[in-house]
Amino acid sequence: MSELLAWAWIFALPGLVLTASGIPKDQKRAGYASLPGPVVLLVIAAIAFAQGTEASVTYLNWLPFLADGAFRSLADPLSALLLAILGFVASLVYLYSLGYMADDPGKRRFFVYLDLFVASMATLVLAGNLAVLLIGWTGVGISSFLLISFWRDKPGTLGAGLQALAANAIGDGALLLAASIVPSGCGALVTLHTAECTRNPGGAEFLALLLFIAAAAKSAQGPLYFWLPNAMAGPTPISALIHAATMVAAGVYLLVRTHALLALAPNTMLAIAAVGVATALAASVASYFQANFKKGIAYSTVAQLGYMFAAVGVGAPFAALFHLFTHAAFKALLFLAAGIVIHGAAGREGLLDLRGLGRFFPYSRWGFLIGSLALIGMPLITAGSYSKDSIIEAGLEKQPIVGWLLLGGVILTGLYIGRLFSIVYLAPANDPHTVHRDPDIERPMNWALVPLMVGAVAFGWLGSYLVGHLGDTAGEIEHVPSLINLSLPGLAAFALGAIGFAIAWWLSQRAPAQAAAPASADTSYGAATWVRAIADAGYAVSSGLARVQSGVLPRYAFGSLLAVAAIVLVRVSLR
Amino acid sequence: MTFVPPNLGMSNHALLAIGVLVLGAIVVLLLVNVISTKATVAVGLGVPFALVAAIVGLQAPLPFALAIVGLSLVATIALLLLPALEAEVPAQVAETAALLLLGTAGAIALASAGDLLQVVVGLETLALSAVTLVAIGRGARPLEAAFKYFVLGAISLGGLLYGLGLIYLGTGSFGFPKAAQLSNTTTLIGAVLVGLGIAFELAVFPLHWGGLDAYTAAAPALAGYVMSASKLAAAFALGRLVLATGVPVAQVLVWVGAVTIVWGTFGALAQGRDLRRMLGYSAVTHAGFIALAVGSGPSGPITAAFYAAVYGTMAMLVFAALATTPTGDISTLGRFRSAALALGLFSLSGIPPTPGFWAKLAVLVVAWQAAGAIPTLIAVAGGVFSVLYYLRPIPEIFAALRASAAERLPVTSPGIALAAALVIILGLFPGLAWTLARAG
Repeated sequence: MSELLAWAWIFALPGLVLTASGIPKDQKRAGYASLPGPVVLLVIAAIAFAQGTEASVTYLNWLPFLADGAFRSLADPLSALLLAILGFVASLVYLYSLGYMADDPGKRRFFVYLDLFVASMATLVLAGNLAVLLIGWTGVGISSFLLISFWRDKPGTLGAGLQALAANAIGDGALLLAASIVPSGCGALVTLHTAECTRNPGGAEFLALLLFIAAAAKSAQGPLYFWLPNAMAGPTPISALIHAATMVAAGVYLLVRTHALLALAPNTMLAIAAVGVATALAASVASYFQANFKKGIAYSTVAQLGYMFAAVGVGAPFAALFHLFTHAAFKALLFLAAGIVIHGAAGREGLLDLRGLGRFFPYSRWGFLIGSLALIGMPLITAGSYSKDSIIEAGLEKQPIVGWLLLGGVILTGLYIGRLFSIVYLAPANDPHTVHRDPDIERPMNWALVPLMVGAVAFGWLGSYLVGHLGDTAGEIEHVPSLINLSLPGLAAFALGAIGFAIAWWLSQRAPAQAAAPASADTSYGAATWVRAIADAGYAVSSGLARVQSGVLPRYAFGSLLAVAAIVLVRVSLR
Repeated sequence: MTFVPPNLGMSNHALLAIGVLVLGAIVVLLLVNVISTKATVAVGLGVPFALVAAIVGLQAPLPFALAIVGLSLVATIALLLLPALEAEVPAQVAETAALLLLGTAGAIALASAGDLLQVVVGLETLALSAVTLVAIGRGARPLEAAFKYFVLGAISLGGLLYGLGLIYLGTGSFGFPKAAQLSNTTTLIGAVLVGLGIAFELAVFPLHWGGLDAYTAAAPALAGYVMSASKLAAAFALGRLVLATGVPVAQVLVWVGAVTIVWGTFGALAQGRDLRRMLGYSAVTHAGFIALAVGSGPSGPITAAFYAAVYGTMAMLVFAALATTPTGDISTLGRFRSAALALGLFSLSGIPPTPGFWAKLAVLVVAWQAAGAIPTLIAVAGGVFSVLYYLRPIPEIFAALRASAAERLPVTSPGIALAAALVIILGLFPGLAWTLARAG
């Protein structure tokens, strides 16, 4: 099956072509042709992972100008796991979108973009070398931009898309540089750590730093967090698939894939851990002050990715990967549950508008509860507890400060998710008449939640199964997560989370309006002040430069002569 | 008695291709109005000559094969776009076809010039054709832009000839000066002046003023040709110069290229919704990449030629898509042209797996090896942030795809199809262009 899986980037393309050429013709069934793609991907990836085999596709001399100009695609257990996650979440999001986008005139285009994303993401995961990685890496960024800006009439969507493009461009640049500077013959991801490939000036540290910058941009870490909350301007199924479960986890995947290189770069590792912890804590606080439902969950994604980065940074790549796996299920669950309420409220996303409306949607309510419990890590019965405890324990063992901070951070997790749950699902409804329900449209959305609920519970039990099949592709695995995970740090983390949850509930009872709409927050998707300032400065320089092109011929002529004289003078004096 | 071709230092294949193209220009001028004044006749007469030149180019020695094939194909696409001009300037279609062929002959002469005199002759044939092509078009704006382009080109030619004189003074020959000869200050100044004179055709900062206005104002069916042909030919000529002179001229080009990338990127960012102006600035930025590549060590000129050839195909694609809309208004394009425009913009922006991405990557590799960290970082930044202006119109273009259900194919569709095919082929197999430039 691995041989087939190495071609998995093709699986979504037939659906893309069919849907784009208007098949099936009936607008009601638009997108049906795309449905098989992710399901096939899930099945083949799961079988390949279970078999534990490895296969690769290589075409030498594809790009004669590169250090490693081969086309390399590698289907090993690590990529099989990632592709299975992609196939699992994507299948459910496709199903969900049939309901969510049922009345949208651009439904067909939506599914084409989704197929483009799945194909790009599969390319990214299967990439055996930097050249192929760049194709997938940039491709998911472009699909993300197209989907964030999907509703062009909704204010702020193009701006939000451009923010995502700008942040991604920084990461793409780092990766582009990495591909350009590796010594001749290097570029395959699994051999980047060899002495052959790290003999550049700067060595392993510089290469690792470039990969870290690329990963941080994709996974919204550190100062590059800014685009992800505003990416919520896109349709909710996109928020679940791209901006929670798969694409934003690509940064974590890249770092896990290149863990052997990172091990040679202790300073970069320290930076990864520090940025991860800081992002986890800051984003948890930020989530608490959001007035927009989806942005609240988005900051939670940023925070959870911070936990994964911290795990990579302390040298526990498997813990990061395990959390990536469970997080994909429970965060997609949270988003899709939220989407049902938002769809029922005609697209409104403000917490004040949505207050209490969740109680009309039982699937959504249960789904969000299970997702929240997994997020704060209820032991034994939720997946999140297993993976998050792995991270906290690895942190306590290897970098105690990191471990303690991550452990303490769980109380913030409880606070923000408790607040969202209390306001939307527990509070009495402000205005129940604003809810529109259509069972036909809701049905596919509700169905899509069920497997995710199962995943948010059961994926945690698969820890030792994953360990057995991954081999050494995700680094040396020191702690195999046990089925009964009643360790002290884990219980302490859950206790903190539960306390946070309870406090949030109590606060939302006491002052419901302030809880739902903090004075400082707005529900729009405008750029953060500091991002705005940088963009404004850039545009000021741009329009200043553009004004020099005045159309006045004598100025052009004078400018050219002066510049030529200056160049000649500098050249002659510097010889 | 056997015929011995005079040794001009230029390959016989280049001479043959030039001859074919000049013959084509004469045939078009003599016959087209006799048979019919319709543009399709001009296309039918001109395209075979361009294709024959391309086939001749395939046999040419490396790396000139890439120049001859690339320039001939650019001319072919430009000829195929002529029907778009019929609505605008019906009286001048035949002259336009002849100028396209003649300009291409000049471009091939410039690209494969064996000494500096041939550089001047080729460059002027190309430049005068280009200026006239810019002037063709409705209204006063193309004329005004062409006039500025002409005057600035004349000043630049003055600099080039002055440099030529200095080189002759220093070395006693019109050949490309050798690295050892540059220890003479007169020769060094001459070499830098010649380099900048050729770089005017690339439209690098600070010599881009006339080019930028001309690219913006020219009829879209012709603007793509003017940009592509002059860049491709100039990249080759500069490569020849740099390979002869070595570091002193290369360094100048590296830094001129880096500054050009910055200037063009910021300029394009300011353009907002003005697509034509943005594409003009985009041509400046890409010129910066070419100049940076030319100056980047022994593999630099080949890489620059590869980049320029790729740029030529994708610029031709974008302008083929826009050929029938002089204002650059994208909302009236149908499905076919919208898709072509989107592909062209993706490639210009360097989204893998389009050829624009591979070309950019190739430049970064040589720049890192030879030009140093700072120019490379500038190129990386200019490259990745270009998405902010190229992709801005993309959501609108894609959303418009669904609006137009049934449409008639535009008259320019053969040209669009050829350009799109080239872009797709080069995206999937970038090595093909490479094999025309370098063995192995």
